[in-house]
Amino acid sequence: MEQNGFLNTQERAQDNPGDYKFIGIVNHIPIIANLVKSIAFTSKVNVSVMERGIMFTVEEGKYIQASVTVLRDVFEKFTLSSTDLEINFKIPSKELLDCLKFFLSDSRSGESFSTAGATSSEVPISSLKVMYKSYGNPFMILLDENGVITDFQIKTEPFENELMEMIMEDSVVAKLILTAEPMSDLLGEFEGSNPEHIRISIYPNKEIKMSCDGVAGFMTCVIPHNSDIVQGFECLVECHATYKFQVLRHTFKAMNMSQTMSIKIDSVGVLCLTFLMPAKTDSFVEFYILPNTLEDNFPTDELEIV
Amino acid sequence: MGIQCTLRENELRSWGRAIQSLCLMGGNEVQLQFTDVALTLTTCDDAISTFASLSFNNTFFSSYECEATDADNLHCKIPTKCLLKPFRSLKFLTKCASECSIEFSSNSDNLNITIITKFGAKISYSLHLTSNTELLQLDFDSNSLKSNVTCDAKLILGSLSNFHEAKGDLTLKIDETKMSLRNSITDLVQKQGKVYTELSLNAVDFIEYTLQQDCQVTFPFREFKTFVVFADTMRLPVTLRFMSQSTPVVVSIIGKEGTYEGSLTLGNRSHPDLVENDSRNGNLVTSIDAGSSVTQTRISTSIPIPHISQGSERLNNGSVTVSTTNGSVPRVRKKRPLLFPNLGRVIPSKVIPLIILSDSEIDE
Repeated sequence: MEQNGFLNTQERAQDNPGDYKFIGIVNHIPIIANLVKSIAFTSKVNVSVMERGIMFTVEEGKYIQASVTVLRDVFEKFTLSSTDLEINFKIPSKELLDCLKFFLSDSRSGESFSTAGATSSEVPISSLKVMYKSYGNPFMILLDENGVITDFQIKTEPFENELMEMIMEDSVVAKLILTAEPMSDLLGEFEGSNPEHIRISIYPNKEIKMSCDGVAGFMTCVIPHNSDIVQGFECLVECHATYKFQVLRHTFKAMNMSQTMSIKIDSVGVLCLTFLMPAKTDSFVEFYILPNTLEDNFPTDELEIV
Repeated sequence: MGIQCTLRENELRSWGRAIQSLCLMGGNEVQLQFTDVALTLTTCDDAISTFASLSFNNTFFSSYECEATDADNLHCKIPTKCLLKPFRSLKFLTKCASECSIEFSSNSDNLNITIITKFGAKISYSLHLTSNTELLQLDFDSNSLKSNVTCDAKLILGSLSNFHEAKGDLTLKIDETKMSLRNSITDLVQKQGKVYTELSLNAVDFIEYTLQQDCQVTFPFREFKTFVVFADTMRLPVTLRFMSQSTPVVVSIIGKEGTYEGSLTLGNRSHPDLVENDSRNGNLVTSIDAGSSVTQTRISTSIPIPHISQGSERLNNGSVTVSTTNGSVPRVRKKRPLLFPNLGRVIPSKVIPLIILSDSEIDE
């Protein structure tokens, strides 16, 4: 019997591990399932398997790009073919989530439906084995629950190379680190107004302001730089940018699961939200959101987009 | 001329619940009336058959500054959905909010509400007011209703939980020994499967039980239940005042230490229950005996119903008379607007004595 209960017979007698470019075994299924769910707002997800781990990336309408990185350390076993630096393919989100649905949860605690209400003796022992052979072959997921093995094979498509390159590290003008839960509560209040756009303004050594104009009236939320929820506040120049609220809403699931988040804005107004997940996985979810309009040539002392 | 008042954490939850309940009971607008003594919120539904009012004394607030007196008529009207926005989430108000301030100025088109959170963030709302500036007042003295009963809201709420749906009308029948509640079936087309519930409460269970005469009154169920739910969450007793079938029913509460008062005036509906007692025929669903008695009957298809075309039998905040003829298309009087004769008139701007309209005046 192989490690973690996966029997050789489940891998077809004629295959051997050497045929697979990538094999990974992981036990933290509910957390990974929820991570993938937090970015599954498009029909397809790009999968990149690298030395450091697996990255799932989605993009919608050239407005938003989201990625989940599951680091190699999370895996019990992580084998990448020596001839490949990176393996890329695309799979449908719905089918991937269907495979993992029993481990998805809605709560901040991450308790999944499969474990909710169960006593310690009843919690099933689960592990997940993912495998990929080569281009044109399906992405295989073997789910082992107390010796019962479920075999999923998801058809793959060519990796989407036209993803936007969201490079912003060198041009970041504002960076904030905040506690995610209160931020989630505050942005939840904006949902009541259901605005079309939300304007984010950051003032050096002062505050971050979010505002929107809806049918009911004008709404503003101001978080001072010395608030209890602000762990770090760096702002070189005053900056303003406006984003579609429907696009920003895609970040709420990840925000609800996260403990700490960072907000970065660069010189052209690209917003980067990074959510650090609980310590068990050391994984993170990252969103890049473009502002409503991009303008060239900003004055360096006062950057304003829209 | 304006007002600025502040609510702290303790009062904020009560305020949020009050706003939510008021918005459920009323129509499209809520009126806020400001005096140096109190802030009063009132609303009535579109059919003017329910009139809800919540009045908060200046002692309810942690700070209250208002330059207007009663004679100044400082008031504004705001769409219900707008007023609800800052207080939409009780969870947020309880978990995050530490203070809320409300500001209004007579020369402003907006009502400004600011919520300060426990971690220092500030959320500000500038809510648009409606253009309708007529002052809404109900000229009716509830003290003229001589019969009144008072009990814990929990008692009534527990009784109402026996009803399958909080829809339609509720009939209250009262005598010296007991009060019974039953729902009315008025929709004959969709009557099948509906459960007819009748519940009795003993007079000894009430805190106060004063009757001028035995009577039977019928009023809207949903708004009544919403008000009782609010009273229950605030842990307050509920008082019902009524007199006869031709006068409204008033449900009222008084807050702790008298810091706020609430009242719900309900139009008394005088139409008969379209499912008569002797034609009620169906399966007995439950019969509970636990101090009170509850009888429930599910209406089956075996009950003969008069031939009525679709849409004509629905009773919806008006007096509708349905007549049938043998084998021919039934003639149905058009649905009457929106005025209940025994609620009187909800008057804009001026105080006018209560007007009782007869059926003939409605027809004109």
